[in-house]
Amino acid sequence: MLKFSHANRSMHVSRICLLAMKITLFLTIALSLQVSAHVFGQKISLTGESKTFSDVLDEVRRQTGYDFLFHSRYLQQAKPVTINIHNMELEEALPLIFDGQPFSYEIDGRIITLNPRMPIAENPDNLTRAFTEVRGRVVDSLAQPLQGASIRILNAEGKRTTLQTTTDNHGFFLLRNVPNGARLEITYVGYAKQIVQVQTDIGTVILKALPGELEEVEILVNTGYQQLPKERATGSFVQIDNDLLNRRVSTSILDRIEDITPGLLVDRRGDAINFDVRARGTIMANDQPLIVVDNYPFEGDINSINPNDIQDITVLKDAAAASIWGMRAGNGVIVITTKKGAYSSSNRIEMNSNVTVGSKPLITSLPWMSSDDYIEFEKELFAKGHYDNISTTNPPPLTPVVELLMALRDGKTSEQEVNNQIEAFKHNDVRKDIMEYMYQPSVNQQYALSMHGGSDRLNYIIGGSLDQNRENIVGNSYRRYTVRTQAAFRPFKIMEIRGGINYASTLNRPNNDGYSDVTRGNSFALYPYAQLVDGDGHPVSIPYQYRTSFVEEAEANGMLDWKFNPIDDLYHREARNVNENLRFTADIDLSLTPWLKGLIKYQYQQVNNDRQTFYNEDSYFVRDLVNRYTQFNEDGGIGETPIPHGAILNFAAGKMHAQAIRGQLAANKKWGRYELNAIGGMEARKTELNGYASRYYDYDANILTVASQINYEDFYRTYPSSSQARIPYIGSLEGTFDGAISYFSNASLSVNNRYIFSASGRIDQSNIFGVRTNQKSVPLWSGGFLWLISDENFYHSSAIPFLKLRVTYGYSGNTDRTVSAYTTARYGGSSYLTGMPYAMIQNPPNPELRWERIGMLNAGIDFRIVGDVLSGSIEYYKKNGYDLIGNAPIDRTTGITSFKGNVASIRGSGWDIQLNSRADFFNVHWNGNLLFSKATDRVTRYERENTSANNFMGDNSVNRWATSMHPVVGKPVFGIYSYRWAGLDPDTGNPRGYLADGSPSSDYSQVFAQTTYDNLVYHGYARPPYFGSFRNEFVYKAFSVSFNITYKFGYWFKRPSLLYNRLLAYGEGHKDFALRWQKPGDEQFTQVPSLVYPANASRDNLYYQSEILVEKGDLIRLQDVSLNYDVTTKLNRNSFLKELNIYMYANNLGLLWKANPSGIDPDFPVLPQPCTISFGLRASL
Amino acid sequence: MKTLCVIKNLLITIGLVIIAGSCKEQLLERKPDNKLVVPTTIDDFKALMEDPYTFLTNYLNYAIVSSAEYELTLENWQSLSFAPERNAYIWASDVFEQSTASGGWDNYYKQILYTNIVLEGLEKIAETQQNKEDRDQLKGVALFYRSNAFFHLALIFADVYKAESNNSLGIPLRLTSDINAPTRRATLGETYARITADLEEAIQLLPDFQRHVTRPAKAPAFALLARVYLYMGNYQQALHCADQALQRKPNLIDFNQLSWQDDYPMEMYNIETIFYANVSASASFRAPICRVKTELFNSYDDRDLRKQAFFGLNEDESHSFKGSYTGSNALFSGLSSNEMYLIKAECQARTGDLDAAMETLNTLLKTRWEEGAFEPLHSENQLDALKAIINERKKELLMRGLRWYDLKRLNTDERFQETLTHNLDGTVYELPPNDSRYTFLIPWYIIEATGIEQNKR
Repeated sequence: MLKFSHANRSMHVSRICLLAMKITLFLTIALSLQVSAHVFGQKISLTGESKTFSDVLDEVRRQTGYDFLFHSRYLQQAKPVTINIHNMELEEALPLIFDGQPFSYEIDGRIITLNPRMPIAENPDNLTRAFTEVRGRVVDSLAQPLQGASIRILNAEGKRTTLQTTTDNHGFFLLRNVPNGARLEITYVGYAKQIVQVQTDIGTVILKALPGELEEVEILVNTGYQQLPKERATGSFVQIDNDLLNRRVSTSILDRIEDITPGLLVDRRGDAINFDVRARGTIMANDQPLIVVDNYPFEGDINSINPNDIQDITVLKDAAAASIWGMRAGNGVIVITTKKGAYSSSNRIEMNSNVTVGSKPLITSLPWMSSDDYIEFEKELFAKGHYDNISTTNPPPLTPVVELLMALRDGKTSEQEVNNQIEAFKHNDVRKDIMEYMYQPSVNQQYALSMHGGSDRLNYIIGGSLDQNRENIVGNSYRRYTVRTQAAFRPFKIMEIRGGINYASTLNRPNNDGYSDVTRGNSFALYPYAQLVDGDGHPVSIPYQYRTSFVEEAEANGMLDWKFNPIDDLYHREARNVNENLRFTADIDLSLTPWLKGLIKYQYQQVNNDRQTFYNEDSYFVRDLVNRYTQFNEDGGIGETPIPHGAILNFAAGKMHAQAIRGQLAANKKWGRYELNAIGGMEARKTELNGYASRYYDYDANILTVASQINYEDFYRTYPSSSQARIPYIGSLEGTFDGAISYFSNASLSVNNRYIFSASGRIDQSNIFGVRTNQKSVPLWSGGFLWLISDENFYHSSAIPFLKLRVTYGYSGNTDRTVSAYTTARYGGSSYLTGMPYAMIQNPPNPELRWERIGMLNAGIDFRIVGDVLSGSIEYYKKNGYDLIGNAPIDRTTGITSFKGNVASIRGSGWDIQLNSRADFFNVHWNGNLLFSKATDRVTRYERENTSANNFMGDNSVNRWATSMHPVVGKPVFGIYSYRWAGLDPDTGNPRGYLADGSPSSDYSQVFAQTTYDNLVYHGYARPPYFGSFRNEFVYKAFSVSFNITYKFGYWFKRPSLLYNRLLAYGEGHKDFALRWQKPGDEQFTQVPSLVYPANASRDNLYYQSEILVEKGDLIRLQDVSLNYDVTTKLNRNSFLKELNIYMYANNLGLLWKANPSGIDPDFPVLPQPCTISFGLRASL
Repeated sequence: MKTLCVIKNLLITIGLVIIAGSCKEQLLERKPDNKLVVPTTIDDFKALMEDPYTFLTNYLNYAIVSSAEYELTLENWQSLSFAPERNAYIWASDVFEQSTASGGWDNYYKQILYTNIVLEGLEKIAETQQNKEDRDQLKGVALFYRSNAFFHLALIFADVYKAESNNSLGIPLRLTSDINAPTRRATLGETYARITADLEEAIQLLPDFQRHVTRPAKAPAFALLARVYLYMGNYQQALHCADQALQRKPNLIDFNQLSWQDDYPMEMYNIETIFYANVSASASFRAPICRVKTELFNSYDDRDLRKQAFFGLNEDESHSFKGSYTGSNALFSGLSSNEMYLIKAECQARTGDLDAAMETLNTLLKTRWEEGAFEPLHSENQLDALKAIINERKKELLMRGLRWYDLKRLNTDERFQETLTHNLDGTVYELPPNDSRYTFLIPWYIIEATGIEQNKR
């Protein structure tokens, strides 16, 4: 909870601000005090009558440059000062200033710390004197001493007595004459109190920060441009502090904000993980939040960040919070801040190590047809003559059962033999083989080590980490190491220089695609009774791409072995992706005047990415390619093989350079009741990316030779398809460049510390292609207001001692780089016909092109109920997207088939509610944290509505391809639609839909022809509009247990089922086959249509897209449990170890409840996430 | 203190100046993707004309499906997942329904957009000694592609050209890349005048040969113009153009040299190919769904090598087509010398030079038959000669979409009229001569967007 903001102090907090600083800085400084107080010969002059104490301090600070640190509530107790001194030494003056004030002072370096004057405990006569002295020390969870903690003696009834003291600046305390059997109550603002039995040496008492105490402990939220005290921020910020980040164990930093950030929804169903912050504000443009690391947008793979390097994360959600990021902020901003050293702190070493073990995914739960069903089905097809017309020239991969039946038909084997073998097949389940031989338990190891410290002029942090992950697919692994260092230096009072180097290297080996890799090739699915190993456990081949007899014959004729052995083949290929990320930062802070600071920041980032796929000469890939291009002589014998039989290496590499520089001025001025905080500046950024891809034939990894004489020019007859083709050539180059210049400013004015007005503005200019110069700039702005109601004189509610209201409105933006103002063409390599370079028209001209704008309104209240039983915030927002890029109607006679322009609008709204509660019962402390979010959207304008029913059948929320989106005014961007379902025909088991007149029908072409958008079933959202989590933490002494329950409500998903035409054409089964309608009466129990031969795609389609397969997605999940044992209290005060934590974490524990009866986890519809368990320890010395 | 002040002020100033001044142009003017251009140079226009994905294909799917050269079983017809393909097979009046299928409309107008961008762009480039050759050639290429697109669009979406009714509806002649220019239908006379004029100009500009048969040159331009004049009934001109094309590309494949047992015996870019283009794939063209009509298959003599080279045997003894000049199951829709021989022969016959006509035809046929087995054809009168030639057109140019165009033009002459039929398990579909269904409906969304007059069908 504490922010060690020292390093950022000069940059973000100006001096006047210091006066108003709350406890954070006070603590920080206090902890790091070095006993080195010297008062230089500073002279001051002060005259005045009844000056406010704060004015006096301000004057002293101005004249001497000394800073004061104290809790702001002291000011309320301060008495006016009347003083008249002239050119007096500070040392002499201070006693006069502090005369009669309810606090004393202490000078350390250039900082004067105010301490309350506590009454010294008297000797109470009514207590038995037992201990003459009781000693102890109070520290926080980072083992930093807490100065000023209250130690009170409780009597037998647990009531406070007058005997009390406070800790000194090293956290030590001493009480005399403590009665025997008494207990000590140790309290400190912002921390959970502790009660301990009295003894001569209490030892070190660790106080835990209270996560719910957002208002009491100052939280600094980082926008990437400045740090704002959260209590003064008008916008919607979510701060994830270090404790909360560390609650979860993960390789990726982004995993750690999931389920604990109100308004953030993470979707892992698609090819990429989608993050949605609040309601959707765009239709086709980028919909992912901007990720900022150390004040700059992060380029490259975010997984190259080591989570142990992260201090905290701030999520910016509304316009006031995010509009400082302008056109990139429309989807929210995730600001990640790395750890830094602190001035005047002792050298510390911190380490964290853990091991995470994950179970194998349950491959046997894949919804495949049973072997028995599959074989019976194949027999039935065979009897119907389905396999009578097998191509002899290009024979497809037939399954063993079909081969047996053919052999029987052709009289090559006996019926007995066939039946025996088929019976044996029925006992196979290939899913077991796959799970056994292609999957393994995952083991992820994580080690992180860092050292930090600082003198009064220099601080540093240096750290490194290693992650070594064995994935749960055999052969796949991930390795990351990171090294970083950051230092800050204050050569002069007014100047701070900071620099940092971050390096990360990752090696990913995605060698094996798991179960989806095992097929029969040419789109044919695997058969469920396949065997991947023989009885002795040796990997065996399966029919692949071609019929087994064809492959055997080809081999006999002298071609290469053409068999495919799925498990063996894993060891004949190797995929490696290496990613190196280097980031270098340099900042200079200057105090120009006491209230104005200047700042220059520079960042250079370089990413090198290298992807290689290597196929050795025994790999199926190489053997197949060589065979397919084998040429035949006149006499039919094997002739030339234009592709050499040698290893093939595919590789692609990319290099990215990004540079950014920012100049910024920060003003901080207070006069009377007013206080102004403002920043303004400009920045320039550029990102340059170059890449290439190529392939080497006949590559020898040992001596590094490759084939240089490949004939890419001539056409060859390929075998067995006999079509003409050139040898596949891979060679391409890419180069992109993003440039941007931005001007930004943000200001807030505080009146009486009760009313805060904020405003921000930003102009972005970028090199978006062909946008006319005057439209390259887009001004975006926000305004906000904060009212601290509970500070008003008229406010007297003792039930709610803290109440704050915030309202903001403003615009942020979004870009779609696929559109342009001019006719643009894109070069596409060389034409496969002529070998000459060719270009395609990319864009029709659109001179009116503008950036998308997203207007956001945010209104929130923050409150705390007396006794801290309940606190939290409630926010309501509206998010309106204007000028959104969408498809406009276009006359295709123009030659353009789709025209994207600023033609769409969207309206979103929602709530983010966060409630914190805490309670103590017996010795257990409970923290509850409830998050609830509502996020809804609907399209309000879209010019080219497509009402063809078929366009609405897909769930676009999964992969979010803009080309397949068909927005409809009045509906959300991602909705679930289906055809009405009239049940199965009781006579035939045919699926039935409805005709326009409402009658059930199996005339599929008519059903589809008569179904338009208007008579589709619209179920609702494809993404949950209601979601959140409920986190509970129980702390008992040094133990804590925390578990997180997440929930999602109000959405729908499509359950996959059986498609007969896929089954017939490609052997792709589904377990619903067992439930199919087989005889009249079955329609009472099942909705799975009967099997018809030949299959009818329309018939399948009606069933597959009907409402009967749409299910409610609602679910409640036990996401994780975290266990922590804090050994620190057991450590000797003088121990080498300062802190030691042992923890355990279990993740993906499973669903507690789901609305759908089909047993499907809507978040992971195909395969449930394997659960993982981690063990680790965290120590510091 | 003073020095510090100077230093800090200096630093700030320098920083801001660096940001504001030097990088502005560099950052905002540079293009975001090296491969992106606003096409303005000769090289850019050349590259546009090289785009194989835009120009390789002629969109004759529906013409081929409707030509009754092959038939489908009911099951196979039902299994066609694309409704417009099913509709075209049974000559439904509305083939495309409310689908996004355009019958080539979108694709051809995309080609036209490319050519207009190039033609307009070339206007803005001053002619110099150095660029004249490239400039002329590019202009010729663009004109060729634009005429080709207009021509196919006219045959698909407009009625057949007749000199006496050239005021009937043609197709929109977009001659500008401005997407805001209105779309309206030209008359048929204007349409064909534009096609022939552009081709004539292209012929002047194009070189005799290009390195690749996928790129327009004089021979392809003459060949295309020969075809255009043939369909316009201007036999004199067609004869001249076919001759010009054949002078440059007289080659014929000797079928005796073919390994016709191959899956696809005709090679891609073979010596008969004057200009290479293919047809985008349709499910019903593929073996074994595609079953060539028995009477067509039987019309080949057993000693006619085309019978083996063109047809593969399906398992049920029916025949599929494997004679495409693409060397694969993709169909050919380019220009080839065999077609030129047939055009030449027909025009010779139409203009009364019967002997020459038969000689031209025999030159072609001799290469198609078993060595020594071919007996040259003779004819006594023009009708016999024309019937023989048209019969050979059917057998030589099948599965190229040309049959549909032939039916369209020949139906206007009572002597050559034909009624097409398809039988799907007893349900018989018929297309009588000169039926309005010989002209496809313009896609609904074009009508909706432009308000141009729809065809009657």
